[in-house]
Amino acid sequence: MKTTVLKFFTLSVAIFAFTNISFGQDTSTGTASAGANIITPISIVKVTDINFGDLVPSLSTAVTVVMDQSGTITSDAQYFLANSSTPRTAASFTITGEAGHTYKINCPETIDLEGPGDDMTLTFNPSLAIDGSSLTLTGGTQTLNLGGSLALAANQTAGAYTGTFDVTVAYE
Amino acid sequence: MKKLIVPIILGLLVIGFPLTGFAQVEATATAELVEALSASEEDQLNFGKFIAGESGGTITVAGTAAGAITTTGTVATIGGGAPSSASFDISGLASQTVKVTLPANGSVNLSHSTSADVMNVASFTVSASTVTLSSTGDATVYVGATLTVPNSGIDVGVYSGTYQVTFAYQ
Repeated sequence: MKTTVLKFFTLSVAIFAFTNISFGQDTSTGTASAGANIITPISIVKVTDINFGDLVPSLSTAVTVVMDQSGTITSDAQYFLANSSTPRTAASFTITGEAGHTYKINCPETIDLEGPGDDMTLTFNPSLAIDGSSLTLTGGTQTLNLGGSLALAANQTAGAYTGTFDVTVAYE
Repeated sequence: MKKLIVPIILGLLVIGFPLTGFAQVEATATAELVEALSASEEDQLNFGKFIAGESGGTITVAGTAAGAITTTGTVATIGGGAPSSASFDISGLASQTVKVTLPANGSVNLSHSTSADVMNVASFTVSASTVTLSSTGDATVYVGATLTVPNSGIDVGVYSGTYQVTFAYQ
């Protein structure tokens, strides 16, 4: 009888010790999470899409048409119509959240535009790092502008070309 | 037992975190490709046959479809040689305006077929320096110029050369 009581006591101690260790881990994780919960949620809103407007391919050579981050085409005048049928715009996004918090942007560095001819590769020229590297949300609001370089094949088939892409922001 | 409650609450906070720490938006990239502009020379610029005369002068082909010939100095046409203004057929995007750029003065010479003699061609003119393509994307322009002929000391024979005319959407 005396032996049985001793065994029960030992087992109780063991369970209690194990449980205590678990609490220690959860408490450490939970403290960090509780801090994040009270900050302003991060958000991204699209202001404009990127639109190159009317472009003119070369008959004989491949050309790259460059749009700067303000939506102006900087390539030779022969490769675009000054009076485009649609307004030219660079892509622009407004990111808002907790001032001074670190975050990251993920956006593809190149996308393909599809249309009636060969796909055209668009390589973005971003105003903020879009490769997921660490950024600071200074003032709680930042603007991401995307210009880019669009590769036209020689005598690229006429018509409308489009592509879509996702831009993701996340706190770090 | 008190300690058991704490982890449950914190566990809920961990689940809630990703909902506020992440946002995504979709955007579109667009470009409209128009027909490349092309041009072909249908008729060559030709000053025809003429004599230089004692002191030379100029011979001008008008930048019109008719390509009327005028001369100055002692230069005189003698008929033949198929004088003509140049004509260019342009093809591109319907209803677009195309700007025509002509060679600069001093940049174009005609060379004798065998000797070293040259004659300068300058003052290029065109029927329309800006032309609007038709609803089918076509237009024709005519180019003329003035040939300066030295005096009678210049070698007789056939002179030829090339020049560049540039067409661009406006």
